[in-house]
Amino acid sequence: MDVANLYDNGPISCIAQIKEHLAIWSEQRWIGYQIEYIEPVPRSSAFIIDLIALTAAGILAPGATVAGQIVQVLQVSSNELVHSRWFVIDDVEGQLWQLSNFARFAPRGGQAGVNLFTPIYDPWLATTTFWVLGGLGDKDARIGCTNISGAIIPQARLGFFGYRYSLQPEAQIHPNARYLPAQGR
Amino acid sequence: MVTPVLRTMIRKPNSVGLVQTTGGNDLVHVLGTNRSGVTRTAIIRKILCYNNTGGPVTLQFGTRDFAAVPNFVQYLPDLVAQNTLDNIWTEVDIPAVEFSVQLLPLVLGREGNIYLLASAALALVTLEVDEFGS
Repeated sequence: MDVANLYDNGPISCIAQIKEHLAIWSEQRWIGYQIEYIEPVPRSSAFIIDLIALTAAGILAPGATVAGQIVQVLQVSSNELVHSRWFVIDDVEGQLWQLSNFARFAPRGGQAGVNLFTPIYDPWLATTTFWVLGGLGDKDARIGCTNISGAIIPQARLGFFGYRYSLQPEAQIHPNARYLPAQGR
Repeated sequence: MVTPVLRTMIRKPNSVGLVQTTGGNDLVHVLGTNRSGVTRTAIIRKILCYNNTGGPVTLQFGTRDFAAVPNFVQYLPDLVAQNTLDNIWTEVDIPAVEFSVQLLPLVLGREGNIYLLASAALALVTLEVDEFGS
């Protein structure tokens, strides 16, 4: 199985293999893990969410925003790592936050998002990659969106796909560990 | 290897949906605006008009000019929708006139959204547009 770099400009693939080691950035430190299990989460209907339905908003006016929501299908258990890419189906721009509303994809000047133009420039959605590590502090992702269509819209659908890793914590970071960022601080 | 495409678009139906003309200035499509407040531009790629008004109906597509009176500004030449026909124009027929906040013809104060001024009421019109931006 090929192993990808973290943000490879190509199809998504695992960033390490079973029984290999990870060092994951979370809570402002590197934490060591060994991978016990990996399974794919292919693009599928269960992982398409509608933020307007989720919030029972009915419609979303032009320029209006759905604040970051905890999305059930993205929630993680302890010692579980979600490796995800995402896309939008409707003409909205999706935004990603950590559980504490800490903005992700966010240089100092603003928070980037994912919209219908993203896969035109980035067909494999590599730049939408994010990780969520379960069991520690600021876990779980919040997803929000803004209606940039110019029209009232009845649905704001976003989809997620990728991999799920089950991890075993290690007392020390393994010398051959793969380093990856799960949380932005 | 994917060839970079520097100017990209998404194809959409007109945002207002099915428009029944009034004989006045009818809003047909509102340009999207990104989170930074930057407005997209649009090119009409397809027009479908059903006319059962009893005679031909002239369609004028343009936008609003806040300074002009009347404030409709025509961008495309007149199109004539024949009676009891589903009149179709596709991107082969339509020049790539770009609807923009201010651009055409380099005059400030243009709204940019696509408006239709028809010569009669009760014709039915929908569009497809390509929107450029982000």
